[in-house]
Amino acid sequence: MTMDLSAADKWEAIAELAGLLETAGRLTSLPEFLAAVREREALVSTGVGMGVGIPHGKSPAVRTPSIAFGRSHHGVDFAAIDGEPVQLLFLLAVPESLGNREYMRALADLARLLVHETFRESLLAATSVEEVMAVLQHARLQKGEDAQQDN
Amino acid sequence: MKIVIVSACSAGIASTYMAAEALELAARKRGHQAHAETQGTLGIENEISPALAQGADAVIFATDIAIQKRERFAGKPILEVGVAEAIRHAEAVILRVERAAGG
Repeated sequence: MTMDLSAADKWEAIAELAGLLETAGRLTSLPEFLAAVREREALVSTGVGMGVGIPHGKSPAVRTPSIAFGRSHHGVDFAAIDGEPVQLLFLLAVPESLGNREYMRALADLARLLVHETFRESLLAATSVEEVMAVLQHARLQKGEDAQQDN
Repeated sequence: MKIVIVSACSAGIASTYMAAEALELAARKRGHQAHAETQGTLGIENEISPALAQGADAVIFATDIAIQKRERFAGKPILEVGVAEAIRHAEAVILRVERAAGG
């Protein structure tokens, strides 16, 4: 993850995060992965609103399911449904072998979390990587608790 | 009020679930009971039973496409809104439902 994306535009930002994945050994081919992300993005923008972007690509060029998170304080234009620039960017990389259900499930769960203002604000306010991890971990636990309460 | 929600978006991998979450959240903040069914790429989840459907005070469809199994809600007052509106203005949607119900 990166606390502060330097990229000025959408594809620069995505490439910046994809670069992190490559450095971490999660990809077998950076260009191939990016092509998959572009293909998905061409269908409908993953700027889902509220300053959040969740571009993703499913490809044989991905070794292990991974998420790269980047924060942009100046905001990046994503042609989002609400026209707002993206400040919280999650790039998901999914191997071809992963079942669609698991992949969709992860995306759906993340999407649900992002609806909560406190979650987004905590991510924007975090001052360290450890803090970001703590926010994500807390949110997952909270979700588990809420689900149990509803049942 | 008991509010049931069905959320469905054609392209939506995320939008369907965000709309469901946003409306449930807004409804509960207003003190209502809320149950959201999603009709997305994962199929139908948290499906609303015919009993739950008929027992609801209000129904919201957050959708850009036709809702599956619509017959469950026969005779119920239904508010249809777009998925984007549900995500961005969830609270306003709930307020509209309250006003329509005279609450």
